[in-house]
Amino acid sequence: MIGHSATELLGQLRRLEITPSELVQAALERIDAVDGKVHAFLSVNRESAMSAAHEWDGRYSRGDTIPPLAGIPIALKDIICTAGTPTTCGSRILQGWVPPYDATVVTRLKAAGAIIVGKTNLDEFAMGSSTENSAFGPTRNPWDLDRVPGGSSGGSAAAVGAGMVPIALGTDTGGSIRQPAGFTGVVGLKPTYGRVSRYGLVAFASSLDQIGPLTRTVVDAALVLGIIAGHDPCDSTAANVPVPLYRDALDQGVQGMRIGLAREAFGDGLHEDVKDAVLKATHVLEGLGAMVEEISLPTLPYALPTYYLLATSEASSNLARYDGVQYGLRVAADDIYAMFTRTRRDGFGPEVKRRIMLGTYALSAGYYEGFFLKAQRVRTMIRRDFLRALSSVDLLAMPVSPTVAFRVGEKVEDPLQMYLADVYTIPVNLAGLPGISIPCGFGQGLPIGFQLIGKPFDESTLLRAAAAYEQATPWGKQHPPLGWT
Amino acid sequence: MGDQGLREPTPKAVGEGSPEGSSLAIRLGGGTVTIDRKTVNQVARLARLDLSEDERTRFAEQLGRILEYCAKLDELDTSEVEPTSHVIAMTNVFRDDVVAPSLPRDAVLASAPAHESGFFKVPPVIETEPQP
Repeated sequence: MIGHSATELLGQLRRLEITPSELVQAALERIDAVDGKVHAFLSVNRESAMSAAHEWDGRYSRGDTIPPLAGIPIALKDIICTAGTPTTCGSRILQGWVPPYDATVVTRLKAAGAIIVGKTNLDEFAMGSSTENSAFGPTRNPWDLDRVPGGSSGGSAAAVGAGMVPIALGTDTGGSIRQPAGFTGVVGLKPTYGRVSRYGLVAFASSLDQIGPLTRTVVDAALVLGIIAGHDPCDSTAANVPVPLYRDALDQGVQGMRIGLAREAFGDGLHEDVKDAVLKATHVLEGLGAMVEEISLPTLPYALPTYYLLATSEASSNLARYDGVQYGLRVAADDIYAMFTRTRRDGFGPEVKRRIMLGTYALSAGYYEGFFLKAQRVRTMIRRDFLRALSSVDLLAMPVSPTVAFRVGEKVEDPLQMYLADVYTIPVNLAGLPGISIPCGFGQGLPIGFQLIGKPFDESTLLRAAAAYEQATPWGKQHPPLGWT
Repeated sequence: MGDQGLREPTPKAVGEGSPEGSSLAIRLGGGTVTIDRKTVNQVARLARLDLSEDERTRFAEQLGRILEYCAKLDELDTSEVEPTSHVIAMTNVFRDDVVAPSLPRDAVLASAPAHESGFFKVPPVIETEPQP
């Protein structure tokens, strides 16, 4: 069962070739076999997963009406609230915290029959590009245990990449689904901002955060998106836009589709292996009938500084809530000011402190105009550039990351170098667009991701092109050398 | 602009040997801002972070480099551009004013580090904040 897509497994379940119990058992055994090395999971819910599986066993064998993900084991990034099970955000400040409610995506996945086997590792509060910023130790790349899996959804990417679960949810504020998907050879979809409810997602940067799936195939990504997408009265930014039947669009191909290659995304800093693989991927789409043309996004080189001012400013405000009063860690002190500052000193790791400092600075009197407001104005220009480009083409194509997965420890001492890992994914969050990472080859034996970017709320076209590419190439069917049987 | 691609930042430190340790002057909007230990202390106080000596030194240097990189935005003329705080054009999202269940108080207090008689419990709140 290991390594099959959820869609294949659902077929086997419906034909009664396997049972949900066997499937969940296989996932737990795979976790036992490889997660000692990979460390994708922060917690595993054996009992609750098995008892949920037994319920679905009965419903399958009785021939009951079965919801779309019934019996499928899934994993959730540990920044998505699950009632009754810890949600740590990879931070000491929330260690042991048990949310009193489920996130909307969790409610929807459970209703669809998915079985949550565990919560996955991440950079603390989703701040990072390597999963090395977790307070509970790094996750390793299943393709090379000396390399990072990317981040911040590195645990979710590694769990899917190593065949522990067919589906995991991640979150993407500046590339945190797409970049680890690219580094681990899986499919990662960041939906349009507003497509998926953020209710119960612990906030990092509220104008950029979005939940999405990491899967083995594009069909599975479409399946999951169809379940988690849509309006939610609990999140006023979850747009009231109809959710199409994503899977219906998948086999329509790319004949006549127009795809723009942004010239600015292929300049300095892009590794040759990645460049070659991404350009080859665009030729594959051309071969399938798409028309590829060069376009320009003049403000692309300004996206990274814009992001690091806006995301840190929003984070400094959102993370003000961790003060030792209502939940999480408290470091006792005689007065409340000392309690706040010592709780935050001991609870937050270095990258979170660095970003809170940067954001607090950018928002402080005297610098607000020059840094924060300036970045908000440049964000407008970046969004306009993207929308202008997308008025003449259907999709944009780009690398996901400038390099393949880097070594554990390689960038931890140099925050700016780490930030550059997200240079092609960040602009998509600033513009609020949907983006997908799909495997498109290997460099130095490590997976390379191909990024497609779509119009707002047009995930259908994105998934359609990604599915056509996936079917025409062998890359998504490769497995890392981790004891596959 | 445009065809230069995405360059790695090449920070240049200035103001070496200042008594406050490393500091960096950043050109911004026609003026210059400086990140030094004093700035870091001030920001840490606003952010309610008790930083170690080592962190103060490191953050002064790193924040300076990051902000110098961010000052790249000054190359763009944004005088005619409105700021974007949010990408979706929606305002005043209303819902029906109906009573719905909310979390029970006990479930919320169960997560609290300390509580008493149905309230969160904290140490004395008096004017203890150190003045800058």
